[in-house]
Amino acid sequence: MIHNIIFCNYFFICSLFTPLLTINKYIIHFINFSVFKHSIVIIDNKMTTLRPFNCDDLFKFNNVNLDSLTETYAIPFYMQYLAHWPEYFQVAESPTGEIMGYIMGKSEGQPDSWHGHVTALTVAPEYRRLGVAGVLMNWLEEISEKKDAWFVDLYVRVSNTVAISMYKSLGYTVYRTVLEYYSGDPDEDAYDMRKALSRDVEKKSIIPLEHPVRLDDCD
Amino acid sequence: MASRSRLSRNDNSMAERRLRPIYEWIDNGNYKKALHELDKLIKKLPSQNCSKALKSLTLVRLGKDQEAITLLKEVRECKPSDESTLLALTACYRELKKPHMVCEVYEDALLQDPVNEELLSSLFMSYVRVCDYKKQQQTALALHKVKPNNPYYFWAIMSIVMQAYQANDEISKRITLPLAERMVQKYINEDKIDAEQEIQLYLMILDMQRKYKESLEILNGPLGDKLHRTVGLTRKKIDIYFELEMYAEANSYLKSLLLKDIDSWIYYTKYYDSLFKIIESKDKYLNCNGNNDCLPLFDSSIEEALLFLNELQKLNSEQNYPQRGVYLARLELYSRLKENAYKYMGDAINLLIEYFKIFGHKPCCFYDLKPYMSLLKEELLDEFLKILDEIVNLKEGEFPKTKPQMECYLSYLQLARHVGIHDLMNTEEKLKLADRLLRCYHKCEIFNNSKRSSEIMANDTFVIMMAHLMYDIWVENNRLTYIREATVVLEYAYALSPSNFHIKLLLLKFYHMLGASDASNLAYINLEIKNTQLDSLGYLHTFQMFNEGRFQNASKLYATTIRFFSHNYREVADHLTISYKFGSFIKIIEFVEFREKLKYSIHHSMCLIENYFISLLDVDNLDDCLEILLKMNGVPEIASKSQLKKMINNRDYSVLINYNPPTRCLTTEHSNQIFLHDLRLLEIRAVLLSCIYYSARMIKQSSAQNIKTTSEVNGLNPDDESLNSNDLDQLDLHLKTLKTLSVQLDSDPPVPVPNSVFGSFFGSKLFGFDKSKTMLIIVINFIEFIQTIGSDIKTSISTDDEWIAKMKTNANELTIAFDKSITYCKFVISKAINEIDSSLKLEGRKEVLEILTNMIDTLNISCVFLSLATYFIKSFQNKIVSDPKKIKAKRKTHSTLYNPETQYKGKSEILREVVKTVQNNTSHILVCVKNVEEAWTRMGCGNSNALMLKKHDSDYPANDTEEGKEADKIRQITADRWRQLVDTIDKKISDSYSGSLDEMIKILIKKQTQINKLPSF
Repeated sequence: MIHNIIFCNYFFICSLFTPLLTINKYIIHFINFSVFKHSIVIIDNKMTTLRPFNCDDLFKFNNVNLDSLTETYAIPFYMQYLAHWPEYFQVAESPTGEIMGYIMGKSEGQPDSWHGHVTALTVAPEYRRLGVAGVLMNWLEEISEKKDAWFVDLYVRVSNTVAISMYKSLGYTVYRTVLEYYSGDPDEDAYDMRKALSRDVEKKSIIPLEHPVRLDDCD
Repeated sequence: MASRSRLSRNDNSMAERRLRPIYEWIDNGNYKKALHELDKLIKKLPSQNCSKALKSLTLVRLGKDQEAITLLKEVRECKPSDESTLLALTACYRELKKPHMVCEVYEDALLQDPVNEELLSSLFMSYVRVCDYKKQQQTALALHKVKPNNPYYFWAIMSIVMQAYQANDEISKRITLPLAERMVQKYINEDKIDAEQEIQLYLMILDMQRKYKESLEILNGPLGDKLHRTVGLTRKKIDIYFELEMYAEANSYLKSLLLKDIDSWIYYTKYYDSLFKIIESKDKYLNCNGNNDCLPLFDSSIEEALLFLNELQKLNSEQNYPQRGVYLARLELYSRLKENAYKYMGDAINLLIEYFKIFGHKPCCFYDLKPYMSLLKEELLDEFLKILDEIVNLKEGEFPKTKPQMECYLSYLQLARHVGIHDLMNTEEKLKLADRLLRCYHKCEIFNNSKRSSEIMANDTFVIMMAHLMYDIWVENNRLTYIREATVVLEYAYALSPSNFHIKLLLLKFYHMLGASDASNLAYINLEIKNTQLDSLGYLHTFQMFNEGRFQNASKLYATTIRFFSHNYREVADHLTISYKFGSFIKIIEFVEFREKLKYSIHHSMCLIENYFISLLDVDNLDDCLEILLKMNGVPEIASKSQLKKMINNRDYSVLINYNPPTRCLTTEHSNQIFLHDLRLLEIRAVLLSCIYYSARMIKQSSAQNIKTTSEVNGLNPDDESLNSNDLDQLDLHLKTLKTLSVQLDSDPPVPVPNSVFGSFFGSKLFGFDKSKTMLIIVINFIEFIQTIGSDIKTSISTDDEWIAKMKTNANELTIAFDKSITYCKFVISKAINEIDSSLKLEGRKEVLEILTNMIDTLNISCVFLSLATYFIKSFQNKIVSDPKKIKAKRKTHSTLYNPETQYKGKSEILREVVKTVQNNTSHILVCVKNVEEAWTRMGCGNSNALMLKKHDSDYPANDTEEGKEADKIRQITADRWRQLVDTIDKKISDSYSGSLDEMIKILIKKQTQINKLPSF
């Protein structure tokens, strides 16, 4: 993914030459206490146990990651997510403790477009069509709700009809097309799909754009 | 632009202007240009530290570490404190892998400005990178003093927690953790807590002290309300109940959770845990239940639990789709009740069948039921399978008509295999079943509704199971021709289902079984293994390539793997610092542990060691050889016992799918066994390499002394002397260890994981060593030889004659061991090149390749020692030739024991003999390899028309029914495709062999050159 290469490069330079840092608060994107009372999140679990993804899983997720559409990123990429958004990185475990799938996401954006983002979602072949992906997505939406996000978005290859129809069934719609988002031979376009959360009562965040955009124009 | 801010503090605007493009050149890898400009700039402004620091960085990037270090020293002496210089220095030391120097840089900088927040914060992070927790704590407190805010305060607390984590003894934990707790408590009392992460940290501190009661109070109190971002609180609460032995509370809590979520597995298991705990100590709970004042409602008997399950079942049936939870929960209860199960729940068969009826057509069916198949009584097995067969509803010879029926049939087949039905079959029956599976595979192609190549095809499982059956036949009769046939089918399926990684993994394994290195390499490439997978899955391929004679491919993969490890070890440190910045305290211990796992991965060390060996393989002259050898200063550390003890196995064995009975699955004992084999292998190789390294140092030192004596230096430098004897001692020590290890191979030979266990993949190379122990003897003799030749007479009391005698013995032993090895080698080869039976033609090829590479490895090490010996003799010769008078004079003063001239003569004569031995043996092996290549090319891969599967087809009675015709038609269509495929694959395998053998020939010729190039003496 182009997207990630840029990200990693940025990070590399960053660690070499960023100005010295001082800190007033932990760099968190969202601090808002007292709005929500602690409550138990109830999710239709599909024989699943969700638990936080941890570093050890990087050695164990092969049954999921050898899948041809699932990218195995460099370690820093995963650690970035683990350090920033540990709550957004969850594993679905089978009764026997195997990794059935996982979701990796984050929250980002300006206050008026504050949203949850799905970076990676994948399920092992043996555990497909059991609703595991739905459970994981549900989780990410719940967390985003808690963080007071307007919507959740994700990118998907326009050719990946299976995934697109699954996302549609979960209530996602195509917001826009991003040209040549996926590098490869040839480059492939992506759909930017969105689902409005409860905060966006009028569902303004998901009104589709008429024209496709280029990667550079994305915010 | 980042570079602008970098220089914002720089007074010298000219320098700033000129440095700006230099940053860009460095960033873009244009180092030559950057260096040129920096040199000019330094000339103009010699006091400018930043340009010097940047020059150092450029030098590091260009690989000129020594120059960089000298320049860095110069910069460091000025104790710079400006931001741009500091950043450049940080980058330098990072890339030089000396993170502790960064700490010193900032410590120095702070001397000038002790209350500079930015510098302090950078210092803190530099301590984080080197895990100096005590200093972290001090720095964080200093920061807090400069600027009292929460993050700095909690950085200090986290640093204390890390000290407790690091300290293994209870006492320090009893001191440090309460301190951390009090510090948080203070902030809680002053109502200063303002972030969720701080509460998380508090909970962590309480947990580490096992203060669960306090944790529970936090969770239930006002602070708990703030934990809305924290996940897993439910789990945490449950865990706390268990830790506090509040089983009734746990039970009732879990019941409430299950009623809301009937499909969450963890709740079921925990519910049972609490249930059985309550039953265990029933008296305690007897009087309380039902009494609301005392305790909430909980279950305290199996009957109640069964009622509860019924209640959940009712909820389940009200839903649109039945969920698996309740059904599996019954099985789980059954398995936990053990011998009492029947009393409460009858036969397990009903539960299993009930599940199969509803979920048999899901691919997860097999994985769900697998753990519970052992509940089935042996005598009910047949009945169970019969009922399953009825549910699947396929008559003899019939094929699935719908996709669900196919899935159901597959589940049935998987379960049947798991309960051991396949193991009861003879070869004929297995072949028949394999054939049946293959037909099903073809017939069910129509159910692959998705033609997308990124999806795994639904019918692939038939082929995978067939491949396993062929593997079974191989285990039984050891004929690789079955494996080759399986590869044909797998290649066929792979073409139709290119994203099925299970097929690729099987191909990888099977090609390696045949010794077809290039073919398996292709499968490996198709798997696109990278990053952490290099560690967790590297065992599948990395070390096989060397064994099969594909040295270049092996070398490439070693290099990739090593780069992965060294790069990431640094990167993880960066993320430790980020965790502090973000207050992700819960992840810090995890990150530290992960870093250790990368550092001590056995795969990493093995790659490092083997990479050194392979780099020596590529050398054909003395100077390069010596240069490589002297750079191996990291090797003895790997060979040390303390380091070996820390080794960790990060391999993922679960990735290889199978449906075998439990007795034929890889257990933890097996994987430990494999790990121990690799550990032994690693030790042998690392110790051997250490011997080579110390030999090289010793020889270098002795030669240097020879030269020094020649150039009339007054006596010996005492430092050199001590170094030399130190190297000698180390060589002695490592040689002793090597001998012990070699003896251990005899006294305690490694036991391989049986072939019938599928997941084992390949035995460690240790077995190769075990088989060709004589080669280890060659190496040991060589080390002794070099030890004798290189050690100076003066350091010993022996006479010339004794030395010469010792060398002669070593030389003789070498010749004998070489002869033995060659004989063994020829014996193994002769078996594999004289086979007439076409079904046995592939037999033993892998062994041949292995023994040949072992031989080449031995010859390679021999060449290294020859080079070292020659290097020494040469310097010795120079000494005598250039200084005959001196020696004559010495001869008078010295005792007659020491006579350099005769010593030289004796030594060089024997060495010449040894060179000849190695030379001859290299030629022998070269002839062997050429013979093998010629024979294998002539033999081919066997008769490609004699495919077992197809032959079996014709045995089938002709079927006149509609379906029979249809099947025939499909077979006809595929038959042509198949014939083509068979030819392609045979070619692929043959090419692999000749590729391996060609590379061996190339290397052997290189070794010949290396020997020929040795200077004459």
